[in-house]
Amino acid sequence: MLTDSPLSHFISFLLEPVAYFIYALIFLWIWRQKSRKPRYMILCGYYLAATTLMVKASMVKTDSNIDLYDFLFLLSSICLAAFFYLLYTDRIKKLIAAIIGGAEVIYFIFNNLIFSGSPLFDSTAYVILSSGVAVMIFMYIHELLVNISEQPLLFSFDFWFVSGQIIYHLGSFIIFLTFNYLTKKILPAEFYSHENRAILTKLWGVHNVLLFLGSLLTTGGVAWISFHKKSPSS
Amino acid sequence: MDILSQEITIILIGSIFFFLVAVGIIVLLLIYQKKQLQSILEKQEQQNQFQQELLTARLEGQEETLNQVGRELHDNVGQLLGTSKLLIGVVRRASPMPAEELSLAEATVSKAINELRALSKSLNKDWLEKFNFIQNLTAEAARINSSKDLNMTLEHPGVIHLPTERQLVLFRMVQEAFQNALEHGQPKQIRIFVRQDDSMIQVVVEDDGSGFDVSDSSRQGVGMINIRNRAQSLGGQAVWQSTGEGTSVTFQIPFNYEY
Repeated sequence: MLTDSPLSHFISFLLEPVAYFIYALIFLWIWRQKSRKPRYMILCGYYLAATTLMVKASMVKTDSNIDLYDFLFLLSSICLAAFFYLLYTDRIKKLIAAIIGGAEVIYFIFNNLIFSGSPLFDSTAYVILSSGVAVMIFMYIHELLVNISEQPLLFSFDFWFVSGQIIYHLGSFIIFLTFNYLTKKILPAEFYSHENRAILTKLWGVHNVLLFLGSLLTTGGVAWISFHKKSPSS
Repeated sequence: MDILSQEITIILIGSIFFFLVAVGIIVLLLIYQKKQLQSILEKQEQQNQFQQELLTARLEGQEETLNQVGRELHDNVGQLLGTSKLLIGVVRRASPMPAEELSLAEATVSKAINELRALSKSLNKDWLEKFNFIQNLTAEAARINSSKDLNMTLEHPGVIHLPTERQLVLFRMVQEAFQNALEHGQPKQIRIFVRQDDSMIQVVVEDDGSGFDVSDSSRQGVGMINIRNRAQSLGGQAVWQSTGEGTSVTFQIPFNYEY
């Protein structure tokens, strides 16, 4: 289980940038299709930036990538909250999305700028991010249930993107919730071993798989929409 | 480290559980929306059906009124005119040298009786249903042409493939269209073209009257509303085009429309 096969290495270290790259490609494709809604433009910028950061981190060997994930947390908080803010039609939901985004930014400022952050991966920040995104997703679902559109959901890109996000954020929630605890557990000298570190790396690999599945689901949705729109029978 | 492995296993199970919850939410959402859409469609269908039934009932009411007017014309006014003709004939025959005006009056009353009968028949549903659309239209053209003030021509394929009750509705539409033309356009000529293909019948009523502004809703009277309602009840449409040199109304009625 702990043998570092090429596939295992790919999943643990490279699948994350690949998933972000797929998202970036989706939004670039949407840009090319001239669907330039502000919320898609924001996500296009977000995924391009995330892909660049991830690729840079993969190529340049550094002692720690904690800063990268802290910055990614800030970027995700702002961009996803902005996406949902622009997606909602209800004012209260917009306000809640703004509050969630604002609270996450405040957490980042306090944790990283005022208290100088933690030397470990701040999985608590990602727990907050995933919880916030989950709340915003449930508000989106509520909006869908309240305002039933005559267009099937399968034709909505927003639905496919949000489905990808719910798979990633709900699936990874437990991993984020326990990652800090597990990291602290294996750090003491009596527990620290290559095997234990490999277990954590593989757990992060599971997170990467969920992120990748989310991006695949969104890609599948985009393909489904474009196929059915081009199909003469549709 | 066994405890760490156990914890990782629990975390993985938790992740899989949340992953499945996420998938479940997506699937439930899709199923719910599909059911809601079905329900909306069913409601719309029911509403359309209700509107259709309402329209049919209204048109049946109008048809009944026309029937009644036709019967009254025939039975009452027709009887009075018949009696008048009889009396004029008695007076004419009784006088040794009858005035020429008496013969003229008798002939005029005779003509009025004939026109009244023709009009009464054209209003009577039971009478019209004995004949097809083309036969009724030909009779109507003959009735209009007998006035000599107007020339009505008719081009048709001979037989049309429309059920009898729908032929009557179409006939009423054409009747209403040229009545509108006579009433508002003062035309000298009315041309009616009947064409059909595999899926629909097209009837065009053209006149050379004064025309009207089709876009002006204040000029759209009860006649146009009746025509639109009737066309809708047949699943078809009526389109008006008008210039200063005349008006044309085109009816397009599908053959396979289900009530």
